[in-house]
Amino acid sequence: MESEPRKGAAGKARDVAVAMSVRVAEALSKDVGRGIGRMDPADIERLGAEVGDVILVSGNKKTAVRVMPAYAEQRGSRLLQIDGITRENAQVGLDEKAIVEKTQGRAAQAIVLSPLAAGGGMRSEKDSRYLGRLLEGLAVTEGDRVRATLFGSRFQDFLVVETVPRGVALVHPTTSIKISEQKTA
Amino acid sequence: MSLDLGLGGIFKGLGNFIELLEEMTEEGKQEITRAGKFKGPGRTEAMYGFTVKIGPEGMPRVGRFGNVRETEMGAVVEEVREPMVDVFDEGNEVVVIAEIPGVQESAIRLEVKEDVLLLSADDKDRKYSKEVLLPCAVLADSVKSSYRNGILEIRLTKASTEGN
Repeated sequence: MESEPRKGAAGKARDVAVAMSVRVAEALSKDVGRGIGRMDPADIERLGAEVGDVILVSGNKKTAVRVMPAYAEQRGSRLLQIDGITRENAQVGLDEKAIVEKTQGRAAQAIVLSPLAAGGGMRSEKDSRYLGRLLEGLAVTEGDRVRATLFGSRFQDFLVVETVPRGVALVHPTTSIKISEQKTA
Repeated sequence: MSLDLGLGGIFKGLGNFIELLEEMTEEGKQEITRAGKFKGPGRTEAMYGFTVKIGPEGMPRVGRFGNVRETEMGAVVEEVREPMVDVFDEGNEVVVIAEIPGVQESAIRLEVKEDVLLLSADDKDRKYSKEVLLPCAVLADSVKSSYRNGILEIRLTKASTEGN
């Protein structure tokens, strides 16, 4: 199989889909919590996207992930490999259909998180800076569950209560992370 | 007497600090550094230390360095992180994808030696380093990379394409 030379964004518009229906498949275990979705590179190209771009995943809800190439054995069958957290955020199950499309994330100025399980030891401002570092790069939308994997294999899940600006927000080194004590149902 | 508020630790630290200043005064030192190292889980290495400098007005200034920070959850080692890396063998190219969030693109360094890619990034307070073994030798001057949303894509041309 020969790979085609890449075309510029304004190059020949061949078979570029705005949105695409994909079948949801299990993520690789090493990808859990990373906020990524793996797709066949040919499908990524068809979406007009490139590796690292943000794509919107629509099941019964919408969420966003950064797209990465799937490994050879998972290519050719229009799969989207996402972990259980993203599946929950998109309200879609394994083997179900989801719609993917390229979107633009904006740098988050601030995000407000609410710890989702007991034992959340992260409260202080110092901790929220450390937390920001753990979540860096993630594309988040309001209502998402996100996972911060702490040193070692411990993790803490949070609900994204708010993002500034609203919509798909990317966690940057300058993003201010606020931890809300607000109880979530 | 020990207080359960960590005060004992602080006083002990201060005691040592004063001893250190005395030592500096006695020996006429302007600057003194203390550092230590220990192994963390996996292949991480924790390094910590501080430097005390006597300023022009005789005021000591303390600077901390290393990759250990205190949080409410205890000491946290900020290792030189090994990024998550994928290597794909794609026809006449080798594609390496690395997740290195939080750095400027200009802080990323890539170096190719036959079938090894050395990837490192050294930004203000974020450090990454990884030696990636490639499936075959690649052309050192063929490195093309793009960095989007913390994900670095590196495309390398295989050195010999005749063996397909």
